[in-house]
Amino acid sequence: MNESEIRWPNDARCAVMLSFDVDGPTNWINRDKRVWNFPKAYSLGEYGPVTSVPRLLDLLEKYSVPATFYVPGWVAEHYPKQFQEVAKAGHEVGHHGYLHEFFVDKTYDEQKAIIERSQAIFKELVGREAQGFRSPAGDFSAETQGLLRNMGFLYSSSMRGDDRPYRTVLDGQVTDLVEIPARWELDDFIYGGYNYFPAFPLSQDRIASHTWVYDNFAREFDGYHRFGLCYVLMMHPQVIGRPGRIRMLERLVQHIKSQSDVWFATGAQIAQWWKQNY
Amino acid sequence: MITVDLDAEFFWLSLDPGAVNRPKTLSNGQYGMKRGLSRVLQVLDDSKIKATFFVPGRIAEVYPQQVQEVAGRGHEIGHHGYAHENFALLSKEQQMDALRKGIDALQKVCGVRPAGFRAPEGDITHDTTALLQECGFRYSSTLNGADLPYFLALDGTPTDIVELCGTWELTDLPYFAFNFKPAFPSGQCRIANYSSVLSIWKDEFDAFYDMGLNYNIKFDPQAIGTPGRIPMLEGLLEYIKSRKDVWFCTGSEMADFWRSTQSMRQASSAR
Repeated sequence: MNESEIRWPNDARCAVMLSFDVDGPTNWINRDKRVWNFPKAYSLGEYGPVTSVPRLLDLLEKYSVPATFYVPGWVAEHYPKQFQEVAKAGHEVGHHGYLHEFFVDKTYDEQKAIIERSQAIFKELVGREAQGFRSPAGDFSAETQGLLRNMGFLYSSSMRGDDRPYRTVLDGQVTDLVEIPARWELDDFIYGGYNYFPAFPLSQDRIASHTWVYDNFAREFDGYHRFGLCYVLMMHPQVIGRPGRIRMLERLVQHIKSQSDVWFATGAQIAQWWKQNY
Repeated sequence: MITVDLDAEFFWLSLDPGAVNRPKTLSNGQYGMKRGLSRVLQVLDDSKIKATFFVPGRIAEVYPQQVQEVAGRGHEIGHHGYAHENFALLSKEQQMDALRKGIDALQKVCGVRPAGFRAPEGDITHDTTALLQECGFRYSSTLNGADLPYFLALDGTPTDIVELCGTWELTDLPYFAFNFKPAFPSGQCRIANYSSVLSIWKDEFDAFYDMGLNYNIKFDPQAIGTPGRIPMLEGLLEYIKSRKDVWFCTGSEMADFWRSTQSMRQASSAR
C-alpha cells in the first residue's frame, strides 16, 4: 500500500534525507553559558566537527549518498576546514543559527540578525548562502517561518507534524517556503545525548542501546518506504559519529539500500522537487 | 477493548498553555489528526474491529470532519474533557462546566450523547463520580485499580456507572511522546524501543487471556500513528486475533454486559 501517492524522482517509492546537525559545543553552550569554561562538556560537542565529520564523509562517500549538514555559523567559523570539506564533497550545508540559539526566545529582528550573520560566514567560506534552515534547540517562534520566507529561504526542516514535505501556510496563504518535517523518533540526540554537568537529559535517563535505536530507525524506514514518504534522519555528529554508533548508521544505510527504489537526496533537492511538483 | 484518545495538540496545551506560541511543539500533536488517525482507522477497518474513541470537545470543534469520520465508521465516541483539562486540578463547578461543554460539542458534531467518560490522563477528584451520575454517564474508563469492570461507589453505595480500568503499560503515549519544552517526559527520558513495547503489550495480553480479564489498551494517533509504529498495532491485533475466543468490544458493550451479568447474579442469589 502506497498511502501517500507521492511521486518521487526516478519512480522512487520514498525519499531519504540523511541530515547532520553539526552543533559542536554550541548546543551545550546554548543550554548553559558556563560551558565556555567547562572543557569536558565542551569537548563532548567538539568531538562532532573534529572527529566525526571526517568519518561521516568517508561513510557517505563509500555508499555514494548525499547528505545535508546544518551548521551553526560559529561552528563554521571555528572549524572552517571541516566545513569546507563537507561542501567540497558535494553535500549541502544548511543554516542552524549562529550559536544554536533558541529562536522562540528572540525577537524578529534578533532572529534576522542571527541569520544574516551566519549567511555572511557561509558566503565567505564556501561562496554561497544556505538555502535551507533547521531550527536549533527545539522551538522557533510564531514569526520565524515568515522571516525565512522574507529572507528567501527555499525550505525549512524544523517542524514535527508530518512525514512528507508541504508548503508552509502563512496568514492563511500557501507560500513557496517548503517545510520538510523531521520527527523526534528519528533524532539520535534524544537517544544518545548525555552529560552529567550540565545535565542532559534532565532526568539523566540511561543511554539507549544502539541495537534498540537501530530497531526504531529501521522500523520507521520500513514504514516510510511502505507508505511512500520522506524519511528524514536527524543526526548529530557528536552522537552518531562515535565508533559503535557509526557502525549502526552503516548497517542502517545498508538496510535502506537493500531497497532499490529509494531516492537519497539533500534537503534542497527535496524542496526543489516539491516546489516544482506540488 | 481497543480504545483511542484523540488528544492531538490539546495534550501539549494542557501540559503548558504557553505552547500556543510554539508551533513546532503543537505540531507533535497535530500529527495525530493529520496522519495518525486515518492510519489507525484503516487498521481497525482491516481488522474488522470497533473501537472506542475518547474525544475532547475542543477536538470535535477543531476537527469536526475527522471526528464525524470516526463515528461514521461505527466506532463509539466517548467523552474526554472539553480541552483535555486535568480534572484533578478543577473545582466541582469547573469539572461540571467541562463535562457539559464536552457533551454539547460531541452532540453537536456527532449527534450522539456520549455514554462513556475517560478523564484526561485519568485524573479526577472525589467529586467526579457524582458529576458523572448527574450527567447520565453509563460508564467511565479512567482508573487503574482493577482489570475487571466494577461499579463506581458513591458514599459507600455502588452506582450503576461501570468503571472499565486501564493501565499505564497498555498506553502508547508515555513510551513514545517527546518534547524538549514543555518537556515530555518531564525528565526528557528516551523514546522507548519499539520491539520492547510490542513485547510488553503481547505479554500482557497473554496473561489477561489466561486469567480471563478485560484487556483495555489505549492508543493516541500522535504516538501509534507513525509509519514505523502502525505495524505494531497491526501486529498486536493480529496476535490477539490468533486466539479464537476473544471478545472485541466497545466501552458501552462491556458496560452493558457487566450490568446484565451482575443483575443476573443478584437475581440468582435472591432466589
